[in-house]
Amino acid sequence: MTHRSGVNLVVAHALEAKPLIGFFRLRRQLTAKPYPIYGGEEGICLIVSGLGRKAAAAATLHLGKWQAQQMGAVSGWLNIGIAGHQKLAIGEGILAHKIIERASSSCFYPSQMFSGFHTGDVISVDAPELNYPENAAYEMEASGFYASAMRLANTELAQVYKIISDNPFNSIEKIDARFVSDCMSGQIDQIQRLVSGLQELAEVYNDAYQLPEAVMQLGSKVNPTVTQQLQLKRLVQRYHALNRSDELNDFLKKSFNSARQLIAELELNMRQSGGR
Amino acid sequence: MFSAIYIEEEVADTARVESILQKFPDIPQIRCERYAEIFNRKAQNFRLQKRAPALILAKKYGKLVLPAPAGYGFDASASYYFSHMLNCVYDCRYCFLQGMYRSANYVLFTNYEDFGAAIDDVIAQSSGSSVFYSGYDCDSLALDPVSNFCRFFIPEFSRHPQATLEVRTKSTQIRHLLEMQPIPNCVIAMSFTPEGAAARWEHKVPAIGKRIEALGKLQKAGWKVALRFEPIIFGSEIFEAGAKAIDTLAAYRQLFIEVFEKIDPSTVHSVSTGLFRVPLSYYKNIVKLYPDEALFARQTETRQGLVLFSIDRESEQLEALEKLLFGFINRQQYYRCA
Repeated sequence: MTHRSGVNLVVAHALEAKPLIGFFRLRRQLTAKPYPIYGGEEGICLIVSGLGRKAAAAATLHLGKWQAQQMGAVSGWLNIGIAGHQKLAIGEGILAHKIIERASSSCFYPSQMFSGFHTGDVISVDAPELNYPENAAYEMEASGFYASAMRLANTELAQVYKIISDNPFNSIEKIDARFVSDCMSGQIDQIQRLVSGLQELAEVYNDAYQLPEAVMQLGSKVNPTVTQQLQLKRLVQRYHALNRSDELNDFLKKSFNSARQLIAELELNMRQSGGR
Repeated sequence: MFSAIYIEEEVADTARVESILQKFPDIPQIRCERYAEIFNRKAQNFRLQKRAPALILAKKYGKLVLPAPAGYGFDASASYYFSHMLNCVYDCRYCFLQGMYRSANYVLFTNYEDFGAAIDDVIAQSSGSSVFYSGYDCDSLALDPVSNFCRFFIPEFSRHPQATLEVRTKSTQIRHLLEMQPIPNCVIAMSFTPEGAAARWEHKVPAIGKRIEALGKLQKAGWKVALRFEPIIFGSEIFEAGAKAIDTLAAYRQLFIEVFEKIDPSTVHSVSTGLFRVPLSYYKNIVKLYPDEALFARQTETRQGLVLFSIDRESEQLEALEKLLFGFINRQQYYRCA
């Protein structure tokens, strides 16, 4: 993987995943079990969750945990899949601005971070909806995905994008493998835009919040307590923010009797040289 | 302008909301039960959200008019504030709102009539004069073309000459004010920091020259205007950008000259200064939000629950700044915010 921040794609079915795997040049990660997980050079990861909100929720959490062992940076999250709609034409894409879980009536509101997309309500149902009673996209995974994604990232970094596969004039019965592939491929430009947007946001987030290496390096010299670790982290952040990271090299070369001594000397040096 | 507009079901069919929505037909309009579902939820990042903030149209319940915090304002009379809006369209790095709210979205409470009734009640219960501040949790003028704040609240105060309204702002959105007849008990208070500080920390805020120009137009039109030189952040390095390096006092001298070239000091209602100060809990949140910001890497100290930047010779520097200011205004016009 490169340094770019990642985006995780959560897809219910292998048929929906196939065009994405091809487009993003993803390869099966053989160590990842029990879900099929695919990864690529650009930090994009894809998991095939299986059908339904519970499966989507579990797979999303699984991927988050699996990834935490691999990297540690925050990623963007995108649930992609086909959906039915009362009004939209076959092949149109819809970015969720509200997700309603029909079984519980819970609502989720993904932050609207990207312009230029058709947005709308997405209703997660437990069985295919054939009557399309509301002006919304009907599907089965979004609410489960979103609830789990919120445990792994901020609301700005999780989105749901659905591609219309059926409506009152085009029955769900007509959906086959070729049709799903065509639906997904027809929206690949919009999907790529979303992935790039999420990648950029994740990059901004990670640039701002990723722990400077010096925190670990200094910490490893003195075995700090949890409180001291937090003090050390903030001091190192301050040196970085004030463009004084070079001064930390001197501390890395020195020995300290305790974490307390290291922190005191970092603070003293900060004060003596201004720190304001 | 907004990434989306969320609309509480309860206000969705009101004329004020419908009129706002008509102005933005191409922005996603999303219904919600209560604004807190979006505004107060967990797992939000104010900093990321500030890149694409949404507008939330809602109804305010509970206490609509509150006592102003101690030290806020120009008058010893009973002081209150009301917030028809939460959050600001600008992105000032020093702003306490970043540490106060989880969300960077703007909440506009559209039940102005309820605010009006609450203001009427407070005035009726006050024995003498009173002051009402707007612009504590937002910038009241910045969104005026959308909110029509002035068109509702100026007439409200025109009915209560014993009460004063201060509208604190950094905005140049003065069209509605210029269309109205000035009232003597409304003060438009414009905030300024010197050029270097504004360039570095006041993102999306109109340029100083534009703000002065707007305030000058209001003054000429007969509105009472006030000047708020806040927050004062001492520390010469903020002005050491290249060849134009100057110290804090010199930066303020330049600012005062620029301001008083266009603003007639003799009719200015009041002038104030105030150091940067933020409640401790908000400051902690802000530091978490911007761990990489040099401003928050400074030495700080806490006084009575407020975080301030540690300054050498603080009183001396403040007095020097005040002395500078008294070269332009008289002392009776001035107060220092606690």
